[in-house]
Amino acid sequence: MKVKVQKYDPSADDAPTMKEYTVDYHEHMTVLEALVKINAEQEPIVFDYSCRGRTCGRCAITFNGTPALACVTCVEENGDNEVKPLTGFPVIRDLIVDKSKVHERVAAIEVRQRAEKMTLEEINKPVDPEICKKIAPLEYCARCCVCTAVCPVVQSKGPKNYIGPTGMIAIGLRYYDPYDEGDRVVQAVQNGLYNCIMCGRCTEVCKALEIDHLSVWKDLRSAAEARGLKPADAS
Amino acid sequence: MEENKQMQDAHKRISRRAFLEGGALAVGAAALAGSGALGLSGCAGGGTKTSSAGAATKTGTSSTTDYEVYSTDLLIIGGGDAGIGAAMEAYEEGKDVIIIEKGEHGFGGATGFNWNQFINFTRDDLSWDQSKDFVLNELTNQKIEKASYETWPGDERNLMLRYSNLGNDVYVRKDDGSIAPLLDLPTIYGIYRGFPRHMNDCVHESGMRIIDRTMITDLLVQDGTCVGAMGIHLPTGAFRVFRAKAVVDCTGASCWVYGWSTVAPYSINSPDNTGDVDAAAFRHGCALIDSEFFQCDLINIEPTGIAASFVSGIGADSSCCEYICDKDGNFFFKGMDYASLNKITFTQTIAKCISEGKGTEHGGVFVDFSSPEAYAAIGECYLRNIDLWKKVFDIDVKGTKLECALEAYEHGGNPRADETLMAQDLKGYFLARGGSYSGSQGGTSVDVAPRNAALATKSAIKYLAGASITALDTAVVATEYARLHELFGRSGGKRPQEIRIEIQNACYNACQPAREIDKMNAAVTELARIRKEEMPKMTLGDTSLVYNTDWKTAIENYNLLDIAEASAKAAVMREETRGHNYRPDFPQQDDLWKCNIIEKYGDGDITCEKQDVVTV
Repeated sequence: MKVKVQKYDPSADDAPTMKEYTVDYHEHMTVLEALVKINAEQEPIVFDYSCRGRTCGRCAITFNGTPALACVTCVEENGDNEVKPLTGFPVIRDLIVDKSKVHERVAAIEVRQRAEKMTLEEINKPVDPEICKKIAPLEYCARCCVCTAVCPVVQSKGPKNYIGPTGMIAIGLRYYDPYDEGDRVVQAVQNGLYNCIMCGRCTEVCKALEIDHLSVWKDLRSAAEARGLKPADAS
Repeated sequence: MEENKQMQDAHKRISRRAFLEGGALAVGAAALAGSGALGLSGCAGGGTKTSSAGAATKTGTSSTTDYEVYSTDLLIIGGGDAGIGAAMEAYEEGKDVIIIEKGEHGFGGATGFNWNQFINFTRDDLSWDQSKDFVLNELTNQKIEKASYETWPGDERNLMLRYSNLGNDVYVRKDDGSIAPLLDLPTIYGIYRGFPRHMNDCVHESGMRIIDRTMITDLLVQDGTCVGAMGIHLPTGAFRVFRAKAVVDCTGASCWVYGWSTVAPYSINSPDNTGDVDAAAFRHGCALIDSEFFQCDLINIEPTGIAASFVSGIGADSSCCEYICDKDGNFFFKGMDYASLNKITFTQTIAKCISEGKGTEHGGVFVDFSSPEAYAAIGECYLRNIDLWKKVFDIDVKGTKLECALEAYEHGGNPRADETLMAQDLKGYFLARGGSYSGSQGGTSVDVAPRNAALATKSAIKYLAGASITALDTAVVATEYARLHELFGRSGGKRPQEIRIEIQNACYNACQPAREIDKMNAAVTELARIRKEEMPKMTLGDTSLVYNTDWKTAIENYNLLDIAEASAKAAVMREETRGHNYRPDFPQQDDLWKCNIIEKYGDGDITCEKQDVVTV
């Protein structure tokens, strides 16, 4: 099986180059397994990983042109198997990118906004079960940024126009959160809720299979419209 | 002597420059005379996250190098559950803190996995010895357990409330919206849906200084006292010196030592968990304790790419033990009193089956999901992964016999601690896990990690009131810098990845739960061979300083080897069946072994001895 990997050391190379390797294939072999094998048995390639189960996001790469998690994506015995760094992020070395700017923004959003500390009495009060069902899937966002890398709006207009699905999921989680006191609808509109073109590419690449991104955007848009917050130029 | 003087002079120049620049991060460099002489200069860190380390120079081609200096009251190493507990404790006290994280902050170690944690806690006012606290066993250091238990009295112990205030959501609810605990006993309360991501966010937003993607390679020890730590900024290769009045080690268990499949050991844990700081303390004279004990779970070993991964795997626990069978299809738990099975007897029973030759091809057992009852009993943590397996691997677990093995999700080995959780053998160095705290349980858990970290931090804060930042001994810095950079000059040996797998396989043979003495002795011999023959020649395949994973692995190998050897020798020494282990040559628990085993790092040798259990 052939695997092509993009290599780039900013301290030594003028530009990234592609390198092809031959790897013994086995059934259910993941991209991560191929990378570990090449690195251990052939020559150093630099990549990152941790959980092997789509929850840490550290192995996010671009596979055959599509953003993916190396740990839960299978190689194809007769395929191109082209591995490049995650689109749209600065490359530190080979396949490792720096996602810290997006991560800092998302972390700042997802901190719960409250005036007072929570009490046990408040926690023990019933919560609308429909709200619980909407929150639960969003908790599984790993912030791997595969969705943000595939998003045509982020990639063409930049994260200033649209924060991307990773950030919008964080806004959605706190919008549903009954204990949060921040104005998440304003925050969603500010961060480009209406610049999303509702193409659904985010849901296609997301390995947190329980997340239905567009249903969250729709809830946020309904809330925005109820308050007259839909931008005049939004379609 | 001349070299030392020049280093001191260079350091003074840099300090003056840092002063003139108003405390901003300043980088200085001084080329030192003498061929092959190690050039060192300091750069005073103004305490920002920014590093000015720029273009990398290849070591060996230049005699000029830089290091960065950061200074703080309290240095917290590791940003996981314990690191969060330590950080929040220090934050409440208004202390100056630096948190070091090996990965990107929020994404390092097991706390960097965004997983659905089961939160459980003792919720009433029973005393520590009546508490049924998770770690209590015959080998527990009772003084530490008492102090840890009493760290958070009353509602402070309620982790549900604590985590709600750190951003956790509504927890699991019934159809009527009321809260749905899984455990609701007079002593213990437990509920799903604690996502560590929220706590990481709170630490991030607190404004504490976080220095991430930085691997600690050694503690800074001067005059027998821990006064900080040293390490490498992975993206640039820059050498960093962290000076502190006290250090809290929150690095977690060294589970990356436990065998090897294709991308990971037989452990759910993270590649960050290589015991870097434990091993450094060990080399500085801290005895390790309880290293023979690991804590295990039963989980899939195929598909190999997600073997032993808790967050994508499927496994079984004692609640569905009647569906577990050996290679011949015998359901060996049947007839046992299921109610009396706990985690330890569950693991021991499987280990006994494997050691009797009834294990599967890969050293595990089968979980028979062809029974609808077994399929229905798949644990909450594994349910989510059924759809993933179908989508990614086209595997439907329903109706199959799934081969599963015992993975080690925790390790007991840690420097021994006193009841304040300061290392018994090193002043100023505090331990969030605390060696001897967990006894034969084989490590702590997510439930006690933040509480222990809070105790360690409270103790460190008391200690640092009487401590001061001592003058930096540049010779100590030079020695560590030279140790790391010497690795670039080697040739003719195996690459670090290959040697690491040799260490992991040997450790697994000695420390997996079905412990056979011949294999264990062979493993100890193999580790000695690796130390003598492979390590001195270990050769990097990469000369860059930018995120050099060969270099990183080589440095980690020294730590893994020390941890592996200590664990393997202690496992051989303990001639009984206790904890998660089964020894066919000593199949019973034996009161003669109601003691802890400590390991000491001597002149080129690691030795074990017995130590009495500390009781109240």
